Amino acid sequence: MADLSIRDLTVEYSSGGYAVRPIDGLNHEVKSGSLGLLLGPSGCGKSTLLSCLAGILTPTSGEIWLGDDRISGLEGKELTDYRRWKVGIVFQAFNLVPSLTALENVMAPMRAAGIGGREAKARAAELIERVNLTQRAKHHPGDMSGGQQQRVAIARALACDPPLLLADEPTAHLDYVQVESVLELLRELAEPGRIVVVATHDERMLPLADHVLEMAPKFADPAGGPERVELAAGETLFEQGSRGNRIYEVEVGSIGIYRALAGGGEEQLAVIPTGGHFGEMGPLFSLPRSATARAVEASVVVGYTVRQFGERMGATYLKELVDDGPT
Amino acid sequence: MAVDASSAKKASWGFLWLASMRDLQWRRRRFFLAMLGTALVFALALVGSGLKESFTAEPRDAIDEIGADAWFVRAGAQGPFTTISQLDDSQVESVAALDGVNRASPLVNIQDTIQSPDDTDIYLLGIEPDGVGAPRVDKGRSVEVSGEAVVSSLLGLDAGETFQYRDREFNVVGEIGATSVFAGKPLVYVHIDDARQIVFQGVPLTTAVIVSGVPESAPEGLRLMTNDDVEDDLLRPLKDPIGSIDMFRYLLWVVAAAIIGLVLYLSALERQRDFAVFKATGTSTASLVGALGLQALILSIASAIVGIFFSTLLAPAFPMRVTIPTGVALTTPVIAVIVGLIGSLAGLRRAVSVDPALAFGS
Repeated sequence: MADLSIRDLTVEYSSGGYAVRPIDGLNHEVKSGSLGLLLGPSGCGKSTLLSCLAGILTPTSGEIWLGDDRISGLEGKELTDYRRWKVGIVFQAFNLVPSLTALENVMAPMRAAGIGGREAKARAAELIERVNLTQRAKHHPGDMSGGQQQRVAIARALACDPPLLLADEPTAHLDYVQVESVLELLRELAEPGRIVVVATHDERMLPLADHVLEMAPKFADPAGGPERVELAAGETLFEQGSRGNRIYEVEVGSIGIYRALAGGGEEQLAVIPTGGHFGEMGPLFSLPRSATARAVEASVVVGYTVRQFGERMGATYLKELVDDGPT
Repeated sequence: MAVDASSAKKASWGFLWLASMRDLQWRRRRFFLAMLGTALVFALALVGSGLKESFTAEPRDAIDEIGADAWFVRAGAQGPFTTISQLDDSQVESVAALDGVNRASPLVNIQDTIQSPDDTDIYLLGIEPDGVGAPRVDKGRSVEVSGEAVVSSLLGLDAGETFQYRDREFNVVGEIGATSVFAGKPLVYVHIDDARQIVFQGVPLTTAVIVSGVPESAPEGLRLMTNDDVEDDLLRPLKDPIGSIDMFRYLLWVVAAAIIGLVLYLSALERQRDFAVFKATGTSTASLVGALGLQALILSIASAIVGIFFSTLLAPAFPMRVTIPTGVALTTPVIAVIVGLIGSLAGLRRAVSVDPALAFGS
């Protein structure tokens, strides 16, 4: 029984010259035969994690294990073999090849993997039947509904009978009638010997899941009043990539805002003077902090929850802030 | 689901076939139009080869038609066709007396124009009716007396017809094959007396002496030329046109490569997500390259075959005889494959560089 194990996984890449770390030290386990859900809003790193699990993206550090096989670090033929035999992927936009019929789309990975024509055709027909599309087997994707295309995509992902099935936002382009059949199918597929991992922001899937990994955990509004923090010169209030639930106002001194550079080091983005505030976007949208805040001199800051900050600044302030962007 | 090596090899050909043929069918209109365009370019390149072949073969055919074994011209002259040299009749006799010469005859030759039925550039050869250089007639008979002519079939006059040349009328009594010099100027044989009248106002001069036999030296004041020397003399003015045709042919191959390359590059651009999905689902880069390469191969070979057919339709429309060498026609598909593969490099590069991560997202 091959379990999926994610150990201290970190992915960092460069965006506009800055280092971005959508996944930072992630640990997670999914048991064989279960359905794991990666839940979170766009940009929280779901697709990045799926890409790592699919062997498409190499993590910066950490390890991914499927049973006894270490996925992270595979290269060349081993990586191709992993993609062929160990993992199947259901893409958000279906991504069926328009020139191939439904049956041929399912056959293609098998033919590429070296399975003979007759065997591939028989297996594809079996899978097409399993997703209840036998009548549409000879149709091209353009002649099928979104739900039918997604079911063909699921059949294709199962072509080489992989122990790990990944689905990226599988219900994103489907209406509620189509969603039902696709969810049912994904649940069925999480059978002994196979793990199904679904990345979604659709919370309707929660009851189906055996494991849920919240990629952007929501913060409970902290109890009590505003938090007052005294900082020595050079002391860090929060790090880029960390998560926090407070928006800060500078009471005394000044706070520097720094962003890590892709090649190492950091760049100062701004200095927030006394009376200014910072750190709004992370708590507002449940995102990791996009920069580090560090005291330029001995300073005092006051941290407010989103609700407290909204009350303090006025009802329209946060909306204007989102419209105009942070200072 | 284990697979042995031989079955894997066979099956990956199956993938190539599936991925390339289905895409060709899917984009059949575009590929068909590209194939027609490339075929037309190949046809023009083949016609270019045919023209070059005709230019190259033309002097050889004319020299064979004249049938001399060796030529004598005035010393210092480049050759009998590109330089008008004047020799007197006594020099014919001195050539005839040389060792190795069986027979010697005077030849008066000049490039000129006949006036009827239309103004037409011709190449005039004045010969002795029974001498060396008398034409081998396909239809009718040879020149026997003054006022008669034997013409190349390129002139379009049959035996029994007449033509006006300067102030005289000539009766066509015979026809030879489609023989010409200097890129299509048809040979016209007349009696040597007529030629002397036209060129030298009746003075018994000659422009060259042609012989049968194998002379080893030339009398003083004359230059001995072999048929190869004369062929070079005839080809020299055509070097630039032949070079231009060659350049034109090479450019046409480049255009063919560009058409194939453009079509495959556009196809590769449109199929980036397909390639990303193929890669993400375990298709090797080599298989993707193979699938695109196979398309280039099919497109090139189909274009070459249709191009050969087009060239057979185009060739007769050219005013000059176009002889497409069989060897060139047979090697066209091979050249087409090379051209197609070169043209497809940009598309192949695009396919190779596709990031499988592109398959994620909406």
